Amino acid sequence: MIPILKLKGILLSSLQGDLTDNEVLEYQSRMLNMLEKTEAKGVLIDITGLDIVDSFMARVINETANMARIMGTEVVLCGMQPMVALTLVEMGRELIGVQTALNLDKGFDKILILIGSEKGE
Amino acid sequence: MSKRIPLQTESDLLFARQAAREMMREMGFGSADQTRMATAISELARNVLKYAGEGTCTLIDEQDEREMVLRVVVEDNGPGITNIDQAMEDGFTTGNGLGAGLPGAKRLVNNFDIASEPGYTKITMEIRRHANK
Amino acid sequence: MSTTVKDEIMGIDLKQAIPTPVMAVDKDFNIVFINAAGCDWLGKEWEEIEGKKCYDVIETTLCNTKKCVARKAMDENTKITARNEMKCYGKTIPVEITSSPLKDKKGNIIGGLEYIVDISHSVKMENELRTQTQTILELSTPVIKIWDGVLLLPLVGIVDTMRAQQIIENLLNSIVENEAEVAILDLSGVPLVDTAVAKHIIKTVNAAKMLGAETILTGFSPDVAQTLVTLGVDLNNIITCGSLKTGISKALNFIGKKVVSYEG
Repeated sequence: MIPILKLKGILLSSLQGDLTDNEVLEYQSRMLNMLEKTEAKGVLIDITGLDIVDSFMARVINETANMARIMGTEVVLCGMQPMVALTLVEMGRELIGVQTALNLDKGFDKILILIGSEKGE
Repeated sequence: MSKRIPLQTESDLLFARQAAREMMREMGFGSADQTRMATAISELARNVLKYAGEGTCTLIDEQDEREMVLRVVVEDNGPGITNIDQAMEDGFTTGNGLGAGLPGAKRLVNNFDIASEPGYTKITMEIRRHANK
Repeated sequence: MSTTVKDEIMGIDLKQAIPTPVMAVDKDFNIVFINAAGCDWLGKEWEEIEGKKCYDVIETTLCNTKKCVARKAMDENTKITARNEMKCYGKTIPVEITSSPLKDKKGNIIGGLEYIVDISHSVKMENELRTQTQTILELSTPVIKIWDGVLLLPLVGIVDTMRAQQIIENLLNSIVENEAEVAILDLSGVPLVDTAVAKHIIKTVNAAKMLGAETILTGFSPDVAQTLVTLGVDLNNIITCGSLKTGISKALNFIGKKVVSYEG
């Protein structure tokens, strides 16, 4: 099971290694449930540990981000491997509409800025 | 040298793409090519599991003095692809929403060939690079 | 020139005197003639060679195939040149073999003439050139860190597909290694940008964006700008700057820095 951690109003998870389709789909639904329960403002997904992202995985990531956004959450994807980015572009499978950051560090900064405007409320 | 991997479960799919990556690394391919082929195998193997239930993936080292060549043959005894041209179009799918499988894989490799009839489908892919040393 | 010298030279069998192998075969590839240089290369006497099939004697890689130059010259009734390898003084060397058809008085093809040239020197030069090209290729795509989080990749010279691939991989890896938020791709030194190169550039920009970095393209010459627009290349979603100078300033702005004049 892919762990989803809550940290300062942000749901943090790291996808690693070879994941089966079921693991990924289970992760997607658990993430959305947790969003509803915890009222988190942001989602940070780290994919440093994925050395292959095929069209299935790309679609799930894209969908998760879009679903989370519909639920009023900001989503940042971080740590994509350079050759994964190249492969996705070559396949014509760019991740559309997902905010990205180079690594977890920058991803965290970015999500804080994105949800920052709501902090003052 | 060649290696034949049965495709019956999802973990076979994961094994096949890692095996290709490993073999290419040993042959001297760069990480971009390793990622390309592993991803292409992932796309095809997924189709095999979905439409045919099972099949095989064969990795063949075809290098000579001038070129490094990895050929990958993915075969199954499923229903076959009735309209190859249509299957190669972006966004086309008969399953549930995986349209980019075949055309995406094709864009990642140097040669891509499909032979299909009811009861037998064979897809051959190759990545070839000039040997540097 | 005195007539005696001329007569003397013309009296020599020039076919035999040619310092490189010359050979004539009939339509069935029986050797009809081979000169002294040819016998020397093969290390055989004429008596040993006479009447034998040429492919049994010279044993090149193209012998007995459709690519045999003599066969092609006779079939196509034209001069044919091809590279090959054959034994010379017991060593296998690269050669260039040229063949032309031999005709009788009525113009019917009755055989083929071949002359063989040692090209080991040029092959050696070509190999050196290839190695050098590879070295230059590696040297010519440096990724320079010009500020924390800002990379500069100046492209110089012709960008072909192979080089474009290398540049893309190099840049994407460097972006992640250096945690660069902006990369400047400077095209000032690229004389020609065609559709293929433009596609590679757009691919790079999109891949970098997915990693979480912006790419600024600089140094479009008027010629390049004109070509791109004429070719219908869509650069709308891509940040471009005319000069490298404005590109650098834009990149610095991007990371919250600014270039200002220093006044006392």
